[in-house]
Amino acid sequence: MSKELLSSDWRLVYEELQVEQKKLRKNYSTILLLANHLVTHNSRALGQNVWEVYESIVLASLDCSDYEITTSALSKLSARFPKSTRVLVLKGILLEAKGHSDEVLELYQEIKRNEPLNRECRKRKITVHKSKGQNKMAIQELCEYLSLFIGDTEAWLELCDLYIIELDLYNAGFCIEELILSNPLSYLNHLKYAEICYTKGEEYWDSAAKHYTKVLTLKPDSIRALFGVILTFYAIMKMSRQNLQSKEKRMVDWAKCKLKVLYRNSGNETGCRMLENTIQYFDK
Amino acid sequence: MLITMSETELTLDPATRLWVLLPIFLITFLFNICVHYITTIFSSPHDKNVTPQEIKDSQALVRAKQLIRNGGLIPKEAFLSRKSYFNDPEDGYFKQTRPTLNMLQDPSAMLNMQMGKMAHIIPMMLIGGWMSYVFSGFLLTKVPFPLTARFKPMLQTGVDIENLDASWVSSMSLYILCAFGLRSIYPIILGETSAALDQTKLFADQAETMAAGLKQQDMNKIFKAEWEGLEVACYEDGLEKVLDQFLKQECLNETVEEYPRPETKGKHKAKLA
Amino acid sequence: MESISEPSLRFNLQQISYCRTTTAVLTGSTAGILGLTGVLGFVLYLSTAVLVSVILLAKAGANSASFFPSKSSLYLQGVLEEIVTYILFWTLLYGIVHVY
Repeated sequence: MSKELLSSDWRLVYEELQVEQKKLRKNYSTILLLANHLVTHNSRALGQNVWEVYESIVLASLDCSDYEITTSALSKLSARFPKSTRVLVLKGILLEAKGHSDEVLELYQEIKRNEPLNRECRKRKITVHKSKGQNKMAIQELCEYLSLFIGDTEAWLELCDLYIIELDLYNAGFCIEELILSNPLSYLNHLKYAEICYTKGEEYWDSAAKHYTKVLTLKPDSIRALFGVILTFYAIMKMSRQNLQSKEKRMVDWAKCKLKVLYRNSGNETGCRMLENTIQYFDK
Repeated sequence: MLITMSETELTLDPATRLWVLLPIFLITFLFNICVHYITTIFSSPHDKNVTPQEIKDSQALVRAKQLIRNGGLIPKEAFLSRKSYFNDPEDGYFKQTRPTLNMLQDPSAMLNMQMGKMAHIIPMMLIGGWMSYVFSGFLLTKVPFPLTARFKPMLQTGVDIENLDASWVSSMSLYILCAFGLRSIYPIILGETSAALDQTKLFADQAETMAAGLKQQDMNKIFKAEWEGLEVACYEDGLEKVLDQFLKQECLNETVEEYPRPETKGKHKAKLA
Repeated sequence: MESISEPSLRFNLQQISYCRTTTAVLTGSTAGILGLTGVLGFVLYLSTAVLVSVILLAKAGANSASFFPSKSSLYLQGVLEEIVTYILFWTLLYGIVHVY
C-alpha cells in the first residue's frame, strides 16, 4: 500500500496520516513513514499544518526508538516555537526515553510551577514516577491532578489501578465510585467495583452481588459478571449458613446455564470441560 | 421617486428596488458574516485567565450535581461521606466563602464583561442607525400580509403618509426583518454543521471553559444554592431491587439448553419460570 | 434512564434546522414570486412544514425516537424559527416581482 500511496497526491497522504492517528491502536511505524514523507516532499504545501506533522514525527519516532529523527524534528519545532511549553514537554518525553529521569522530573516540576493548568506535564510526571516504581509519589501527583480535572475518567481509572497495586482497596473503591457517579451506565465501572467489593471481604459481598447483577442488566453476556454472581452468592450462602433464597437461586441457575451456552458457542472444548467441573464443585 | 396612488396599489420606481432593497439585504448579510469572522479571529481559547481555585469550584459543582443524580448507585456510606464533604457545617466545601465581586475596584473586568454582552447588539444598532440615515424616506415594499394600524409607526419610520396601508414598510423595518430572517442561514453558510462532530476540541478545554463561564458570578450564592440542593437530597438505594429488575428482564426471553453431558442420555431443557 | 451522545444529538437537530431553513428560503421565494398574499402565504408555509415533517419521519424510520431527544422534535423543531426566514424571502421576492 505505501509505495502507491506515497507517490499519489499529498492530500491523500495527509488524510491517511490523520486516519492513522485517530485509531486507538496506532501503528507508529506507518505514522512515521507517512509523516516523514510529508515533511520532506510537501512541507510548503502543508503550510501551517507542518508543525503538527512534526509533532507526530516526534511522538512516532520515540515509539520506534529512532532518536535521531526525534532530535532533528524537535530542533525544527523549538526553532519555530522557542518559548512553547508544548515543545518543552516533547523534549521532556525524549529525556524520559533516554532514561534521564531526575532531570526530566525537574523539568516537569518547573513547567508545573509556571503553568499550573498544563495537563500534559502533570501526566508525564505521573508516568515518570510510575516507571521508577514510586507509586506513592505517583498517587499524590494524580490526586492533585484530579482535584483540578475531575472529568478525566482515564485518570480516575489509573488512580484506581495504582491503589490496587498498593493494596489500598478502600481508596480504589472511592475512585470507582467517582466513575460510577459520572457515568452510571457504563457496565465496566460496575464490574470493577463489584470485583473490588468482593475482594474487600465479607461485609461487602452484598454490595458485590448487587453490582454484579447490575452489570448483567447492562450486559447479559459478561462472563466475569456471570462468574462473579455465582461466586458471590455461594460465598454469602456459606457465610450465613443458609440456603439461597428462591430469587437468588434462579439467578445463579440462570448464570450457570448462560455460562454453559457461551462457552459452548465459543467452541473451546477444554474450557467447557473445566466449566463443567467448576459447576459440579459448586453444586456440592 | 414617483408615487402614484391608484386604489390600493402603489407604483414604485424600479430604481428603488435595485439601489435600496438589494443593498439593505446584502449589507445585512455580509456585515454579519464579517462580524462572525472578526469575533472568531479575536477570541482565543487561552485568554480565559482562570485560576486553579476557580476550576476546582466549578468541578465541585459538577460533582455535587452528579452526586444528587446518581448517588443511588453507590453505597450509603459513600454517599453520606461525600455529602458531608460538601455540606459539613464547619469545613464543608460549600461552606467556604469566596471574595465577592467588587464592581468598583475592578473596572476593566466589568468593562470586558459588558463588552462581551454588547458585542452582538452594538453592530446591529450601528448599522441600523446608519441605514435609517442613508436610506431614509424610502417606501420599499409591501409586506404580503395585512397588518393592523398599530404597526404603522414601527414599520414606517420616516414616511408620514397617514392614509397609507400599514403593510407598506420602510428601510429600517426591512433591515430588522433581514437581520432576524438571515439568522438561521449563517450556520449553513459558515459551515458550522460539521463542527458539531469535532469532539477532540470539545473535551480539551472543557474544564477551563466551565470555570470561565462561572467567572463573573457570585460564587457564594451559587454555593448556597448547591448546599441547599444537597441538604435536601436523601439516599435512595438504586440497587436494592436490581435482582428483581434483572429477573423480570431475563424471564421474558430464552429457554436455555443445558450442555449435554456425555454420561446422560438425551437433553433436558432448563426453562425459566 | 438512557445514555445520550450529545454531539450526535446536536448534529441531528442541526440537520433538521438545515432542512427547514432551506425549505423556508425556497418556499418563501416561491410564495413571493407567485404573488400569494395574506393567509394563503401562511397556509403554504404550514403545508410545507408538514410536508418536511412527513419526509423526515419517513427518512428517520421506525427508530426516530432514538435519534432525537423527544419524538416531537422531529416535527416541531425549528418550525417557529424558520417562519421569520420564510416571511423575509416572501416579502423580498414579492416586492421585487410584484410591487415594481
